[in-house]
Amino acid sequence: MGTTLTTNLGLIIPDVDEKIQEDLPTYAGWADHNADNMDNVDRLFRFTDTTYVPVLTAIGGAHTLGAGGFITGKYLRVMPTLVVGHVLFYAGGAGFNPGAGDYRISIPLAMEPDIASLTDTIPVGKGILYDDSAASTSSVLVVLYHVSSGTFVCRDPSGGPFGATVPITLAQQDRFSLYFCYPTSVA
Amino acid sequence: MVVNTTTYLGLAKPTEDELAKDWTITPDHVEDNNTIIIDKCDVNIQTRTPAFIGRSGNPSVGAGSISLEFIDYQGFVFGNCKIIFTSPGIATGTNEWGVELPFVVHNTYHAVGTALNDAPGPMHCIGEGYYYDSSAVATSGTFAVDSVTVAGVSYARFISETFAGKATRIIGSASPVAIADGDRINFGFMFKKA
Repeated sequence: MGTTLTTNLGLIIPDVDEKIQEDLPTYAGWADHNADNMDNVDRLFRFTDTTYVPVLTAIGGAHTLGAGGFITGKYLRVMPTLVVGHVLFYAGGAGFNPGAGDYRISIPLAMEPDIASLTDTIPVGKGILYDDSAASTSSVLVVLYHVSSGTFVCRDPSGGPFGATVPITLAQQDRFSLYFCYPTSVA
Repeated sequence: MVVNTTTYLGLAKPTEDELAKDWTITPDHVEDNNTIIIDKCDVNIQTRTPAFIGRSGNPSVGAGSISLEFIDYQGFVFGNCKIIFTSPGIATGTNEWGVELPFVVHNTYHAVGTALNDAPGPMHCIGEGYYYDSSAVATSGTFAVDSVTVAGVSYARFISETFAGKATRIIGSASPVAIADGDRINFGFMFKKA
């Protein structure tokens, strides 16, 4: 006796001859089949949240967080292939150095391979840039997945690559807040 | 009698021993599990008319409309909102604007503000949108969305991009312009609810 499985989740579909109440020496009964099926369904429809520590890289020279500065990350897994995440960055006070060059931010889970095989950059979210010095230069950012580096990069409304000096020279007390949404095939 | 359930949804996994004691409860387990799956996963789009407020005086869409639709998937909420301003009766309100979200935003998972004029940046960005100024291209543009919770209600705020003459960080009664007939705001959002 064998069992038929569903196409996508591999759920067990026993036929009339296979619906056995108790385990036989060579064939599991309904309790085992049901347990496997319910575990598969449970994994597929789960909704969880997790923290992660984003790594910020300034490609032209490392930045330094000032006193009290931080970068934090969280993400949700929906169904669970959809990753929805948030990053908060605070430059901090004394000692902050923006570094040099474009900023790249690590992602929490690997991008779905079909997406990761595309070229250039792919929009995945939005961000808020807070310039502590002036309201007029505070702005918003588009968050993109940078295929070649496997990281997030951002661009401001003028199209410039967000980094140490674009669109503003980051300074003490400046902040940015990002959200992103992308598919993953990580189990 | 069932002691084993799945980790996330709580689906019943009775053991052989449990079934042996009462095989007749099997259909009940199947029905219960199916109900759980349907309730948690087969969700429908819901609509509502959200409150639209200003920090010191509420705006009005006049003869226009404000409509919001959303899906609540196991506490993960995503949706969109459309605001259309139509004369007569349009009012700009006073100071920063907020649009009521369908649920209170989870303030442990999310960083959430407590006032409509909180400085943006410390709060989680939860969406994005577009501000259409029917009078001018230069003051039309995209914005990001964050959230604040005031008196037990969570509101979406609109954080504007840089534009010529920008005076405030948060869209409201005078920023980027005084709202007028034909102007529109559209935005999407996603967040974990409390």
